[in-house]
Parts: sequence; C-alpha cells; structure tokens
Amino acid sequence: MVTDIDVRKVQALIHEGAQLVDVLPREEYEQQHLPGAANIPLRELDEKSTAWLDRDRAIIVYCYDSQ
Amino acid sequence: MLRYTAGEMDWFAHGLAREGAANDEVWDSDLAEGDVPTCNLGEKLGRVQDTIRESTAGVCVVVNNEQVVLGLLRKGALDLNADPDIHVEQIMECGPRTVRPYEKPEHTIKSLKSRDSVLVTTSDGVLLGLLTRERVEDYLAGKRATKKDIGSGR
Repeated sequence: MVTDIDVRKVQALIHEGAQLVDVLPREEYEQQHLPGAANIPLRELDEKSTAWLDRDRAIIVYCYDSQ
Repeated sequence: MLRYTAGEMDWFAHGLAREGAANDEVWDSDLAEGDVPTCNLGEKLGRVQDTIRESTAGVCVVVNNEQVVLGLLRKGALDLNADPDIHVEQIMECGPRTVRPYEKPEHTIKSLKSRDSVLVTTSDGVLLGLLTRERVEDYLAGKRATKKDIGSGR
C-alpha cells in the first residue's frame, strides 16, 4: 500500500532514518536529486533491484513532480 | 511504502539542499540575501519607516506569522514622510513578483530589467530571500564566477 506524503513529512522521516529512492532515469538523477537519495529508475524497479532496501526503515519514493 | 507526491521540484521549491551535477550550478536562491527586513500587515508606517530607510535594498517585506509574503514596501515607491499612523496594508504593493529558488539567474535577469529586486519564495509563498538586480548582474558579468566564490562572499 502506498501512502502519499508532503515535504514536511519527508523531512521528518529523513530525520528518523528513512530511505529515499529517486525513480527518475539515471541521467536526470545524476543532474540533481535529494541529498542521500538512491537511484532506481522506474523501469528497473522490481523485487531484485529493491532487495537491498531495509524493510525496517521507511522507504520514500519520488519523481520529478506530481505529473 | 511512502510516495513524495510533489516530487523533487517541490523539494527544491522549498529551497532545500540538492546533490548531483546541479549542485555546481548557481540558482537564484544561491544569490539571494536571506536577511530581509519584514513587518506584519497590521503595523503602522511609523514603525517601519526607519527600517525601510536603512535597508540596503530599500525594501521591507510584509509577511504573516508563517513568513508567507503578503506585500512589499519599496523606498522609492513610498512617501516616507506620510502619516505614520497609516497601516502598511494600505500602502503596500500587493502580490509582488516572486521567483522560485531553483530558477536560474540567466532567466531571472529578464524580470529584473524593470525592477531593482525580486523576492525568492517557496511554492507556498514563504519568504526565502531578496534577489537584487545588482547581484545578478555581477554574477552574470563573471565577477562571482562559481558557486564556491558566491559561498565565500556571503
């Protein structure tokens, strides 16, 4: 189940050790991303590519904008 | 799983930190002066006259309790000898021009052709700083060539 959150919640969760995942293409990720965010392009998002994520910590995914 | 619906542009629109190649670019937020005089809607001109006169940029930003921009007082557009009991709400410039933190000075300079400065705010309208035409022109002229130089000059 996916829960939508805003910037304040993102900041609070980062403070608590949340993991950030940028799902944009690699070139865009390398141009700019949130501090500490890992890159798993949307097309590559599957069980194998996300296996390394710690399920005991919050996982926040984000894209370019809401579109 | 959690989804940050508004995405990275929302993050940057709040003036928050970034990583990646873009970290070496200069954005409007990097050039803006963060220490900007402010006042509240209900204040009287008498209380802010000296603030405006002494302000380097000659402005005082009218904000609410959450620092959301409501208006602007500019030295050049005000009669600072007017009735000091006038409320700033009656004389302020409503809805002043603003730019987002991630906008580039190369683009913002066009907005500054007809004004001395522009406010940098988040997408929610929260004041982040004041960007002057002089500072943008200096940067574009190469006087502050890199983001590192800008950081050391503040």
